Amino acid sequence: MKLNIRFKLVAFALIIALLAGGGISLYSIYQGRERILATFEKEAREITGLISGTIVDDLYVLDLRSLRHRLQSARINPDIRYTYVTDLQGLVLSDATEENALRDQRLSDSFSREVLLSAGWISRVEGDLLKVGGPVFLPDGARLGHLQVGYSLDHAYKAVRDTTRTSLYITLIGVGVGAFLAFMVATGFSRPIWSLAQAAREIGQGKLDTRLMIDRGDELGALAKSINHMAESLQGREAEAKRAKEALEARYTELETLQQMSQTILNSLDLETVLQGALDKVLSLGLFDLGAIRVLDRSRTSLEPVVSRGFRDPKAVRTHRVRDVTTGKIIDRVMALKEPLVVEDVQQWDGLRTFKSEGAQSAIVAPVRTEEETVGVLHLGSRTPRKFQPDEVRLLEAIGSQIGIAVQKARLYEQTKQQALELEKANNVKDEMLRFVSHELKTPVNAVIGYAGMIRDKMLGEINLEQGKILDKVMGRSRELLGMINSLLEATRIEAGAVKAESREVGLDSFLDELRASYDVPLGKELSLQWNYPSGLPAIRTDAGKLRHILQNLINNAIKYTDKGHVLVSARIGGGSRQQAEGSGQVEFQVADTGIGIPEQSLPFIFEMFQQGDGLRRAHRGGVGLGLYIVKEFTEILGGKIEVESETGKGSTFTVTIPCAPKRIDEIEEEAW
Amino acid sequence: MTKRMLSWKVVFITGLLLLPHLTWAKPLRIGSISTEPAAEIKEFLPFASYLAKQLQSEGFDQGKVVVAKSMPEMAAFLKEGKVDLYIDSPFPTMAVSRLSGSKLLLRRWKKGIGEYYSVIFTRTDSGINRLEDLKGKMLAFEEPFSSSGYFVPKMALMQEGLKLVAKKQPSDPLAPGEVGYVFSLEDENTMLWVLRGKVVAGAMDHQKYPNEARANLNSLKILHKTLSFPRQIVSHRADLPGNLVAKIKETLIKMDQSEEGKKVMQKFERTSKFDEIPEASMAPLLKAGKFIDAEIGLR
Repeated sequence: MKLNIRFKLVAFALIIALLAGGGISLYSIYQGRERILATFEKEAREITGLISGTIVDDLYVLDLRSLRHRLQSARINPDIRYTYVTDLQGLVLSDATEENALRDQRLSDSFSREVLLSAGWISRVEGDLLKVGGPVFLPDGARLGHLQVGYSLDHAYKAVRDTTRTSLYITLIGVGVGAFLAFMVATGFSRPIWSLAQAAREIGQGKLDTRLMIDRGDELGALAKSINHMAESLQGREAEAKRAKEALEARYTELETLQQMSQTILNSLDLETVLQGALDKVLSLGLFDLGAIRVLDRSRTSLEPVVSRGFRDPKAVRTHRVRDVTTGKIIDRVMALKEPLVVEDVQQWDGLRTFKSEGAQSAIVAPVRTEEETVGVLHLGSRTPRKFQPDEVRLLEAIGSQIGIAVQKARLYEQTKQQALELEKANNVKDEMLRFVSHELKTPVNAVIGYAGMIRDKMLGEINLEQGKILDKVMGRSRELLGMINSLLEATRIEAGAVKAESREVGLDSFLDELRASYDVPLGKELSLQWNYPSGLPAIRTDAGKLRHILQNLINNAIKYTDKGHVLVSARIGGGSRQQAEGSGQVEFQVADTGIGIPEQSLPFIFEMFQQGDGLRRAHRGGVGLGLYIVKEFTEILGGKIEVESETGKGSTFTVTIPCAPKRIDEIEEEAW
Repeated sequence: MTKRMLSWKVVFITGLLLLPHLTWAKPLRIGSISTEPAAEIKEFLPFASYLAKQLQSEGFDQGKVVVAKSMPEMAAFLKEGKVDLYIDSPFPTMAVSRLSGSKLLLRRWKKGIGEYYSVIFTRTDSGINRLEDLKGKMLAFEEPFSSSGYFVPKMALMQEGLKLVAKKQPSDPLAPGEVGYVFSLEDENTMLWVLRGKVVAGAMDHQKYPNEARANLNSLKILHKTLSFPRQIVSHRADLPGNLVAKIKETLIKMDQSEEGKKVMQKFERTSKFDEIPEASMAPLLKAGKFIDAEIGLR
């Protein structure tokens, strides 16, 4: 439950008033009661003493009649309920009644016993009675008897009640007055506080022109002044914030426009599409009614309109070309100034004929710039007169630069596209030529080899030794030529993407044994071909033909470039164990020779087409430089890789690594592509 | 006859009718002796008013109570015609009669009692066994005009040959052979003084004796009982007309025959009736003329 401060203040003041008033009242009541009872008791003792004085003679002479009369006279005091006079033994002499019914009776209550023993007046409250009693003395101090008087406390209690009631009334009046004053004070406090809260709420809600009219000299007045000051300060800051916000929004709009324009430029490479989008974006800002973008033509002598928007007569824009950029007209000036030109009164301006005819009142002509030069002009016009802000001009300048980038990009794209077409055309010619040449060469070379073989095998008659040697050279060279042609064809197929792997299970043991057997012939030089591979190699899934081509090419190259020494062919499981090889390991093949080696500078290009390492290798050993290119391509088709280490004069080592569990063929093909 | 003349006739006739009242109307005065006149008047007034009302035909228009402080004063009132009827116990009545010549009329049954007697009592441990033993002792009587508490017992003691001497204080010295007495002014005092040994013996009527003795009855003993005598006597001044006296007597005797009379009598100290004074009970008192004269100082 929400309680307002006035209620709390009133409640607080009331509680304090009640506590204080109640405490004082209770204390007053208690004190009043004690005082009344004490006074009553004092008076009762005095009255009892007086009665005692009047009866002493009667008691002395034992005149019960007189004693009764005096006691009855004492009963004129309405508080006296009874009077007893007893002798020294406590026997009643008179009870002040005509009947004197208690005469000769002994009063046995505790108070009466105390009275008998008391040396002076004693008193005690019992119920609604105040009992006062004591001895009756003669002037010489002789005790004659005892007097007991019972006083009704009704009047005393009534006085207590009256006093209590009066105290309560006073307290209630005090509390009432206190409550009224508390209400007034609380209202006096709460009203300005409420006003302060209201003002703070209104200020919080944005009503910064709220002002407090509290003219007080205390803290509330100071607080009101502070709130007014705060509101003024907030109002000023709000204005600043508003301006900043507007600036930020303008900047945001600018950036957004530029970003969207960049996006438009990125989304398309078509110049007209890009410029159309850019112009639409500019006009969407709402600053202009019409606009056009003109771009310098390839001859750089004319500004040709590419796109336009908002023109009542678009045809006039399209037909209007600025032919001469050096005539001093407005466009020329723009091209020369390289910054936006603001024309606040188009009709009075020298130029902008199209805008004038369209009824434009104000215009901005911004250059479309690349980093190096101005490549066009952005025309923007408003049919209502207006003043352009620097931010707007700056935005249009930025837009002009964006459009310039778009123009440059589109032109580069056009240029690249053209070059690509030309390259594609040239490549197609090359491929056609290669296919043609290879096919046309392969047929006669096969015929030469066939016929030379027939002669060498003396199928056409006897030949002498010299002829045999010559035929051997013819056949050797022809085979080399055939190999080169095949390589060319293979390379051509690879380039065309026509080479694919055919995966099947290949037992490495039998594969290498067969390969080794194919080289079991004299090499004709001081060279030994050594094989080093462990038995029990696993079967792997790969394209056995391409693997064989790879290894044969490397072995043949090693033999070819090694005159003395050895060529070592080795194979091993790269991952270690057979299980690993069958799982996800690799098989590593290595062909190492002690040949002439490859110069270090040639190593980066050794696997490129038509590369043979250096001129010496090419001149010395022949070939077209496609072997290692094909090896590399085949290795990659099988999902593997090839590396080479070489030192001139000491030999080379080629290492081919292919996966034991090759990826699916389709995956290999995808990666190959 | 004009209206004016008629009015004068009405006034004249009314005046004639009122004349006897203006001339003869008088109060009936009832006398009593007391030291507390207010209480006495309050006690007697209804009776006086009733009686005056009953005697209206005799020219009484109201009843009045006249209180005298002493017997001589009452006697003077009777002589002077200031009191018509005097009601009291036998001794003061007799004394006043001897002083004023008033006549005894009827016996009053005060508190329902027609006759009573007095007792002289002492404590059992007082060593007093006979009246003779009272010589040299102090007695307590009630008051000088009390029949039962003073006159009758004193007369009885004197008739026994004892010499009674009035003393102011119980402690006053006594000559050998005399019996001293003091007035306690209250039977209750008399009883208390006897019980407390302030006096040796006391006297009161036989009905009050046990009431005052209460629980101490066993420690007391009665030394003497007097003869019975009327409880109270109604007397009238000597010059009261005989027919009026007869009328009064008739009225009082018949008073217990009407409800109104009973109620008035009940309020008048619970009087039960008025009747003729029995000669037997009055005889001893009538014979005590000398004694009475001595008491009232006529001799």
